[in-house]
Formats: sequence, structure tokens, C-alpha cells
Amino acid sequence: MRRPVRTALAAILSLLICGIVVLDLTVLEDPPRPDDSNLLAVETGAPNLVSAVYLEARLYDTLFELLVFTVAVIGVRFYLSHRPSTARSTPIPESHVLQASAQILFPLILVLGLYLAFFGHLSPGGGFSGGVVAASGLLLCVMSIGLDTVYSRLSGAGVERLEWALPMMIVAVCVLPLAFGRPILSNLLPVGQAGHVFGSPSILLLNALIGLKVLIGSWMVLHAFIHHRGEI
Amino acid sequence: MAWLNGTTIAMILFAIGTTALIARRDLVIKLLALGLVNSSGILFLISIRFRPQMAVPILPAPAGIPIADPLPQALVLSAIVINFAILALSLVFIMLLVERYHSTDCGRIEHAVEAEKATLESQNLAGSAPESEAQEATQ
Repeated sequence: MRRPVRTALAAILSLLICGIVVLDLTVLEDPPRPDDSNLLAVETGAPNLVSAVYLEARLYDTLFELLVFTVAVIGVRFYLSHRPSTARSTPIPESHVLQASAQILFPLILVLGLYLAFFGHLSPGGGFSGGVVAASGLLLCVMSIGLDTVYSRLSGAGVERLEWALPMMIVAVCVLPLAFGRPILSNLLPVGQAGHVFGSPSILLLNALIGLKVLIGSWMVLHAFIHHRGEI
Repeated sequence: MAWLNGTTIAMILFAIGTTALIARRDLVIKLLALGLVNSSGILFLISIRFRPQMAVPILPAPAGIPIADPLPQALVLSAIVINFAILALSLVFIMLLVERYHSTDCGRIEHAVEAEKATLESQNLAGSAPESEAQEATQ
């Protein structure tokens, strides 16, 4: 098939799909719903209703989302591990401004990431965004002192074993309520006063574990790409 | 201009992304188009439940203002993470394909794969013929 014909056919097809959705939407109305947001906050102890939804009411979704993330990290590492390394033996020297500011900024970025992860049930944030923020701090470190230095320090701390252990721990937190006679995927720890830091300990625990998991997973992806495709 | 809200913009972005996904042959552009489709889905989910002047879904909310629906926001959170996972994994696959076939054009890659398959089959035929002769000889 010739190229303009193909493009036109594709455009018509996608517009058709859009039209079907638009037709559906004209039927879709805003149903009156009871204001049950207070109920959800009291039930979970988390004033941030978004994290109450995705770590409590729809924990099943989040569990499989983490599974997708883990599989992607494993896939990136597996398919790149057979490639020869193209990283330089000595990192490209960066400017003194970057080197000096990275030393000051890295702890601050790490603390910000931890704050986002640990206070995800009280304020905007959560494990995913906190982990990504902390991983961007690691990227800044890589740019200032080189990949191999950061990698040797982190692997000395047992990061790779932790990467395997963390999904198991998250699944354990989801399954353990069975041992206490409660349904699976329910609160592991008792709910406290809403609005307090320890008001919803199970959401706090899950946020901390997910933040660490996302931090280590993003670091693994970063390391694989930089190690096998050259220095940044 | 009342029709130009988030929903219709999401539709237009979806149409552009799907068109590029089908019609363009470059794998990297296909990946960018997939990202565009994903973003349009995120915009769609957020904007179908958007009502003007709603408070953020964090309690305690200011009195008298209804709270926005937290469900689409929680769904979008999953969509963003899965988009990241898809992007990272398919970049690796494109990287491997480019290293092997030296092209990001999916038509050329298909031709190269078929040519490889044809040479492999002819080699197998050539290799299996003497073996069967040898088996016949032993029998």
C-alpha cells in the first residue's frame, strides 16, 4: 500500500475510535453520589484520599503495577547484561559548579524524596514520586563523581539483594493479614487517629517500601543504560 | 470555545498518536506516539471527572467546597508508572534491534529478518540432506 493511502486510512481509523468514545461520552452523565470521602479517611486513617484509594481500596491494582515495574527493571537488566560495556574508565570531567553543588544538593534531594514517601498519606506525594525524586538525586551524583564510584558504594550496601527482597516484603505486607484472621489486602496494622503521622501505619509502611523499591529500580535502569550505552 | 476542554484535546492527541503509531515506520517515532497516546489517556481520565472549583482530595477540605474525585487520580498514578516501564523496556528492545540490523525502520527490519530466516532454512536443508543419506547407508 502506498504511504499517503496508509496515512489517510490510519487517520480515519483513529478518528473513528475517537468518535465512538465521544458518542459514549454524550450519554455519560455525572451521577449524584453521596459524600463518602470522610468515611474513607476514617476507615484508612489517611487524609490524602488518593493514597487511601491506591494503597487501601485498590491495593490490588498497585500490587500488579509494582509487578509490571519489577518485570520492566528485570527485563532491562537482563537484555542489557549481555552487551559489552561502553562506559569510559575515567568519567568525563564536569565543571566545578556541578561538583560543588551536587555535594550540597544530594542530601537535600534525598531528604525531599524520603519526605514525599513517608508523608504520602498526609500531603501530596507517595512512594512512587518520592522514589523517583531520590533516584534523580542519584543521577546528579553520577554526573558529579562518576558511575563506577556511585555503583561500588551502593552495591557495597547490598542494594541488589534489597531489590529482590523488596517485592517479596510488599507482597508479605499484603498477605500477612490472613495470619490474623482478616481478609487479604486489608490493613496489616491497626488504624490510629486520622491526620497523625502514624495514623495509618500500614499505608506508611507500604509507601516506605514502594519508595525504596522505586528508588532502587530506577537506579538499576539508570545504571544499565549508562553502563552499556556510554557515559552521560 | 466551550468545546475546547481537556476531553476534546485528549481525543485529538489520541487521534494523532494512533495515526503515527500505525502510519509511521520508524520505531523510535512509534514509541513517541505510544507515549502521546498514553498522555492523552491520562488527560482524558483527569478531565472527565474535572469540575470547576473543587478542592484537592486531601482532608480537611475547606468548608462548603466539594472534594474532587480521588479515583481517576489514583488510576493515573498507575498509568504513569506503567508508561515509564514500557518506555524503558521498549527502548532496550529498539536498541538491540538497531545494533543487529542497523536500522530503526520496521519495514527494513522485517525484510532483514525474513532474509535471515530464508538463509537459515536453506542451510538446514543443505545440512540435513547428507545426514539422511548417511542414515540410509547405515540401514
